[in-house]
Parts: sequence; structure tokens; C-alpha cells
Amino acid sequence: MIALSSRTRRALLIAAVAGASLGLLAFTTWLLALDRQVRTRFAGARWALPAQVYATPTLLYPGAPLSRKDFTGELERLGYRLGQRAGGPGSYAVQRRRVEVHTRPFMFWDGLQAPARLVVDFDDRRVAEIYDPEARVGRTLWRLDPLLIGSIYPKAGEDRVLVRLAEVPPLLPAALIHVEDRSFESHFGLDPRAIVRASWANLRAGRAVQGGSTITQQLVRNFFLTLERSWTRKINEAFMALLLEAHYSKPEILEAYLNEVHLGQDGGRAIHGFGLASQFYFKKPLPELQPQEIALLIALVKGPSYYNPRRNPERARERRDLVLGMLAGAGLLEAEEYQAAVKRPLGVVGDGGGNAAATYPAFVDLVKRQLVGHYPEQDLTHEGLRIFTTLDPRAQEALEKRLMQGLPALEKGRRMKPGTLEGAGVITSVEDGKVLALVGGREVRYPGFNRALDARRPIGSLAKPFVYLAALMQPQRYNLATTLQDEPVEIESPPGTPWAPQNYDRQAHGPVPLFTALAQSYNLATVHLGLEVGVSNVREILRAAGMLDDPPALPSLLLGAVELAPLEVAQLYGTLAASGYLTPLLAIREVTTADGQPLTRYPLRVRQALPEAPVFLLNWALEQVVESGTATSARTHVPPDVRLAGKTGTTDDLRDSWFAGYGADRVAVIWIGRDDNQPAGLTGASGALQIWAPLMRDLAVKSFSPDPPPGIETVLADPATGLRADGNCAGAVALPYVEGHVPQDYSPCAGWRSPFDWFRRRRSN
Amino acid sequence: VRGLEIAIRLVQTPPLQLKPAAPLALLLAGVLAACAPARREAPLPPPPPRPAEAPPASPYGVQRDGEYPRSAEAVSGPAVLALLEQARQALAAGRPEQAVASLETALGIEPRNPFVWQLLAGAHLAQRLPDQAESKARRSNSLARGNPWIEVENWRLIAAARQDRGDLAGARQAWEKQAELQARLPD
Repeated sequence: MIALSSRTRRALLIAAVAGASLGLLAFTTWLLALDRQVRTRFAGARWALPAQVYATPTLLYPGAPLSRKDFTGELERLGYRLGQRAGGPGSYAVQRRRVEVHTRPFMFWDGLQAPARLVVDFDDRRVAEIYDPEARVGRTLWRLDPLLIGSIYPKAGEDRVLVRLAEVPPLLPAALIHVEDRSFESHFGLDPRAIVRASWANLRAGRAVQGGSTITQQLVRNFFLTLERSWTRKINEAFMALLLEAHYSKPEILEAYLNEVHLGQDGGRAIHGFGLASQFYFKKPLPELQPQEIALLIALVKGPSYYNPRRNPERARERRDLVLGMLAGAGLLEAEEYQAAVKRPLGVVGDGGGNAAATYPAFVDLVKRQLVGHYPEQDLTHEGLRIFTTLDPRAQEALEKRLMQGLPALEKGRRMKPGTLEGAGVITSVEDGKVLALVGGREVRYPGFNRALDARRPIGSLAKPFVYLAALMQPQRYNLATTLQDEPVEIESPPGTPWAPQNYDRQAHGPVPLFTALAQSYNLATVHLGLEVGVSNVREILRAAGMLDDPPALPSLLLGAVELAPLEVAQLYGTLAASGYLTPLLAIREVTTADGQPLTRYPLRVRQALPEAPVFLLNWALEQVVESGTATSARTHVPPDVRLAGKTGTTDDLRDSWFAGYGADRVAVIWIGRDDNQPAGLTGASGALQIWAPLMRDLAVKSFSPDPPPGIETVLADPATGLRADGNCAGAVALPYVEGHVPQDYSPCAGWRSPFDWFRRRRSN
Repeated sequence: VRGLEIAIRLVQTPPLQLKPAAPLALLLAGVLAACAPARREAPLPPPPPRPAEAPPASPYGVQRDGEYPRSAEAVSGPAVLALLEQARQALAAGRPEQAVASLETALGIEPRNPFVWQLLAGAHLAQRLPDQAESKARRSNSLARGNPWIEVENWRLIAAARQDRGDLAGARQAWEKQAELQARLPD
């Protein structure tokens, strides 16, 4: 031993103490940094929740226009289980015209809808009766839980559905602990015995076959997902696990894990947590999962990509069965339960759009745009807001089906290359302006160019009704029988540029009644009429009906030289369908916080924008479009007693094919064209109408038969002269007129009526 | 001639207007009609050429028996009645927002029920949203198809909405309209 002087010894001691202090300081700083990091992230795991977007709930009530088939389709979409009997929330059974359903509880904006066992009887197309056998009462109104149609998650792509530990099936945490971390309840973040055990196993196998990570460590790893396998990372991870255990209780850590763990991938969307995974793989909420389904999710913890049940079903099944065996061995499953579960298929449904985030991308896009102005991005992606929308899944399905089948059929019929045509469509409700369905392109599941909102195209003849309305709003000058001149027209517009529009058939039809000119969509008569009433007048009426654009008041506007998207057209035609009352279209009804506190309602706003009586006359003429005009082919699709109103639209060189129309309760707008804006070779009637008409049948649209509002008189008129007619006049039509503006003079075809009449005729001659 | 026209108009309107003077006018109409030349056509507008074109009468307007439905109970389905009741209770409890939500749900079920639009107007009035109150009362009127029981209440709501907005002249007009309708109602 070397003897040291006391001075040296003291110096060494000081150095050692200083070094230790410095080391301690550095260690503490590092630990504090880790601590802040992990705590921030932990809070984030509990609170960074994407907004949840829901469709409109199905309402059950006696008389609801819902067939048994519609209803079971709805239950299927919602992931209800079909069984011999309805057993537990989210299940149903079918017997002929009766469905027994056990509904799920759901927290709506205005309170909780409790679960209930209901017996629902149907007649041919409607709900006949709803009976609650437990309460022994008939029910007048019941809301089903709404379909989750998407979530709004940040660009980085973490999506989740928050679950609470108290609400998950007890088997899940028990099984998770048993499979992943048996001493979770007792360890302090790390499990030395598990580490030794795993190291021994890995050493014997010569490769990594077992992990010794606790749930706490795994949680930390999920917080900072990286594939890096360095010692630094492992040490950081271990200390963070210790810190987490120091700060939070076991249940808190377990709950965070349940919501954080990565369980799959859907394109750019990472599936985090068991709540979302349950929707993603099984299309139902976590509490409804059966043992084999829980086992599959737990199997996925080990490697969501390697065991991806959609891509590698055998591997997933093997691992699931292994997990089931472990659960049975631990007594978490009874022997019979195990036998039953292990026989069951994987039960994964859908194509990965399990929670429908990708199911209705065009509609969810509209919802996002409506929200962006109202909420900061951070709130939408982190606050777990619940957004209740107006989407009607049945209407949406009908629209998608018609477009997906209709476009290939049109291409085939015209020998076009498949994929040439694009299309978009919108369905809205007439009186309350709800957007019920929206399709932005023929690939309905792929988010991308949303033509329903962004493909702004010239509307062509869809503008004509507003020209005629401008005229009919001057009842002293115009009525439905007014004779218009369908004669060639040439004007300079803009000055110096001659403009000579033509009719579609390149003929001039001479004098025609006003309603026929609209029904047959004559361009020349429309231009003459529009110039008489004034182009700026027409533009004002378009704007009153809801057009936000302010196009120049050039004569070409009369023939639709204004570019609008299908949704905007739906707004305009919705105002006509609602007798001149404008309701700004809405896609969202309510927004609540994650725990159901109401935040915002988007109430129905209505404003009388156009006078009712002239709109009634216009609608009469738009019915003639379908009855006897350019859209008669629609008649072959809809029942004879259902009357519809609408208008075809075709643009130059057949680039755009439009149809916009309505029954009493639904407005639908269809656009077909090409993305490169080349001629599509379709008129409004040969293209869009062929999708619109069968769609109206699918929707079982109510007949458009408004009874005349006050201020309307109906009299027989002779379309040839525009004068009054009687039974002697061949081709006389019963026409509505604005009160006080019924023509007094009779057509020559009418019989002699009274001395006064004789006198009047003399006078007018 | 003028007398004839007035008589004809009275015949055309529903029997609600059968005030003491009406039978006299009817009688007069009958006499005048009898005096007219034999070839004279019936003065009423001729029926439409195709029976399919006759729209089914609105359940909210005049019925076959010549009466108008007086209350929502007479013409609404059980689900809408339940929602109307919910809305009334919410209004009574001072929660018009909630009433509006119930009524909007009801409109999803019976979008052309003027009684629902009317109560919605009332709820907006309670919310101090007079513009929406008036708009919805007007929509109710336009769906009421001349039903004076509905119209009289709508004009009351319109008057109150205009008053709330500070449009006193407009309110007076609406009150007059309301009084005029009220006077026509049978007891």
C-alpha cells in the first residue's frame, strides 16, 4: 500500500466528492429531463384524442319508413351480432317480420340513450310497432347508436378511441397482464426476474425469442416509437418506466397502455389502443368483444404487422390460439369457453376501413371543412370531440351504388375506355337542408379530389329555371302559358364578340309556351326571355337562391356560364324544392366534448329567399321536364304515382352532364364528366339522369305534389295561344297562375260562354 | 257581375266563412247561375286533364268534412307528438335550446308539419332569435294551407317577433292580421 500524505488524501477526497456531485448533478438533470418527457407524453396519451365523427342515428318509431331489410342492414353496418336470440347490447335476432334487438347505450348530445331489448315489428316498408317486453310498454321513439364514420386525427396519423379501464371487459386487462407481464401488479416498473428469464431463453435459443419488458416498459416504448435498439434507448426506457411507476398508479398505467399500444396500420393511419382496434378489426365496441376476439387483439401486441390478421391470417390464428391456451391454462377461461373460442374463425370484418374513417372520405372531408372555421386544429385532433353529423348511411349507400354501377354502364354503352368518366353526387333533405349523402368520385372509398365540393364546372341548363323564375316573378307580364319566341339570336357579348347560341337540336321552334320552352330546354327562347327580364336580374335570383359566386352579368350566364360544384347546385335547387325558403346546407348538427357536454349546436336556419307563388309555378314547369320534357326517361324508373321535378344540364361539346331534381323530401344532384375536361359525350339526360332516376327510386322519394299555396289560381289554358280555354279546346292544360293575373280572354277554341264574355271578346279585338 | 264574382269566390272558399251574410250570397249565386244562359260552363276552374295530377290534399289544410285540424294531436304521428311534448316541457322549464333540438328531430320525421314549425318559431322567440322565429312562423303558414287555427297563432308569433326586433309598425300589421283571423274563427 502506498502511503499518501494527508494533503494528497484530502485533495483526492475533494476531487472524489466534487466528481460525485457533478455526476449526481448531471444524472439528476438527465433524470428530470426524462421525467418531464415521459409525463408530458403520458398526459398526451390520455388526452390526445382525435375527434369522433358520427352519422345520424337511425330513429325507430311506428310508421318509420324502414323495411325489415333496411333495419337489419343498419344493424349489420353497426356491427350488431346476429343470433338465435338477442343477448346483450349489440345483438339481434330475426323472425320473419319481427326483429328482436338489444340496443347499445349511447351518450348523445342531449343525454344518454339507455340500452333496451326491443321487439320491432314491420309491415311491408315500415315499422309497425315497437315493444319493450321488459318494461311491458310500446315505444314511440327510440334512437339507435349512431355509426362511427371517421375520426379527425393529426397528420402524423395516430388515431384512437378512448376507453376507460372500468368499461373494458374484465378479461382484457387480466389476459393482457397474464400474457405480457405476469408480475405487473407487484413490480416497480422493471421485472428483474423476467429479464433474467428472457435472457436465459434468448441465450439458449441463440436469438431473441422472448422479451422481458414489463407493460410499463412497453408503454414507454410506445410513447417514443422507434425501431432503434441501442443500449442508451434501453437505459432511458428503464428509467422512464421507473419514473412512470413513481408518478402514477397501476390502474392509470394500465389504462394508458390500453389506449396507447400500437395494434395495426391502415395506410397512413396508425391504429392505437384497444378501443380503436376493436372497431378497426371487428367493427364493434370493445365491451362487445368475445374471448377469441380479445385474444386476437392481445396476440397483436407482439407484432401488429407480423400477425396482421388481414394479411397473415394463419399466423394470426396460430398466435391467437396460443393466447387462448394460455388463458385457459391460467383459469381465465373455462374449459368449455376455451373449446368454443378456439373453434371460432378470426372474425375480422371489412377491408380495414373498420371504423369507417376511410369509408365516407368525401363526407368526412365536408365535415372537416365545416369545423375548421370553428375549432382550432389542435382541438379537433386532441380533444376527443364528438361530432354528430347529418350523414344518412342508407342514402349514402344508395348514392354510392348508383354511381359505382352507373358510370361503368355508361362507359360500356358508349364504348368508352373503362375509367374515362368521373362523377359526383349529393343528396340533401328538402325542408331542413341536411346533407344526407355525398360522393366525390367513382372511387368512393379513397380520399382524394372531392368533386362534390371542388369540381366547379359550368352548370349549363341548370341555370335556366332561374331565368324563368325571374320572368314568373313579374306575373303582370309572364305566366306559364306566355308565348316565347324560340328564334335565332345574335348579340355582341362582350362588346365586339358576336355570340349566337343554338338549340341542342340546332333548330328554332318558333312561338312556344313558356313552360314548354323550359321543359324542352330551348336555348333560344331562354336567351330572348333572359334578355327581356335582364341578365343582372337573373343573377340576383341565383344569388337569392343561395349562390355565393358573383359571376359577371353576361348573356351567357342565361345558359349557365357559371361554374359551380355539385354541393352548391344542391343548395340552389334545395331553395326551389322548399318553395323558395333557403336553408343553408349543414353537415353537422352537434358537437360535444369527449364526455358528452354539449359544445356547439348548428341549428336549422331558414329564410324566405324567393316568393312562394312564382316558385310554385316554376316547380310546376320543372315537373313538366320529367313528365313531358327532356327528362321523361326518368319515368321508367320511378313509380307512376310519384311526381318529380328537375332539370337536365349539358355544357358545350358535352363536357358536363348534370341532373338536379327533387321530390317532396329529397334533393339530389348528379354530375358526370371527365377530370381532363374533355367531352364526355353525354347530355344531362343520357348521363346524369340515368343515375339520378334510379337513385330517386332507391330512396323511395315522396311525390313532389305541393298543394298550391295561397295566392295561386288554377285555370284551363290553351298553350297554343296562352289564353284561357275550356272543354272545347284540344290540348288545354290546367295551369296555375298567380292570383289576380289569370288571363281574362278566352282562346278562339273556347265555346261561347256568356254575354259578358262576348262583350269582352269584342272589346279586345 | 261583381256580385256574381264575389258569390263565386265565397262558394270556392271553405265553409268556415259561413257568417250570417254568406247564405244570402250563396242564394244569390244560385239565382244568378240559374239566370245565366244554358251553355254557360261551371265557373269553377275545370278539373285537371289527368286525374294523376290532382295532388292529395294536405293533411294540414281543409279536410273532406270541411273542417281544418285544430291541433297537432289531430294530424301528427306518435313519435312527433312525443317530441312536441318534450319540446313543450323543455320550453316550460326555460330550456329553449333543448326544445329546438327536439323539434328539429321532429322535422326530420314530419318535415311539412306546420305545428312543428310553429312550436319551433315559439322556441326561437324564447331564445330571443326573432328573425328565425318569424321565418319559421312564415314557413308554418306556407305549409298550413289556409288553416286559420294555425295561421292565427303564427301571426301572433310574427307580431311578437317583430316587437322583439323593435319593428313596431310591422308588429302592428301582424297583430291586425292576427285579429282579423281570430274574428273569423268559430268559437
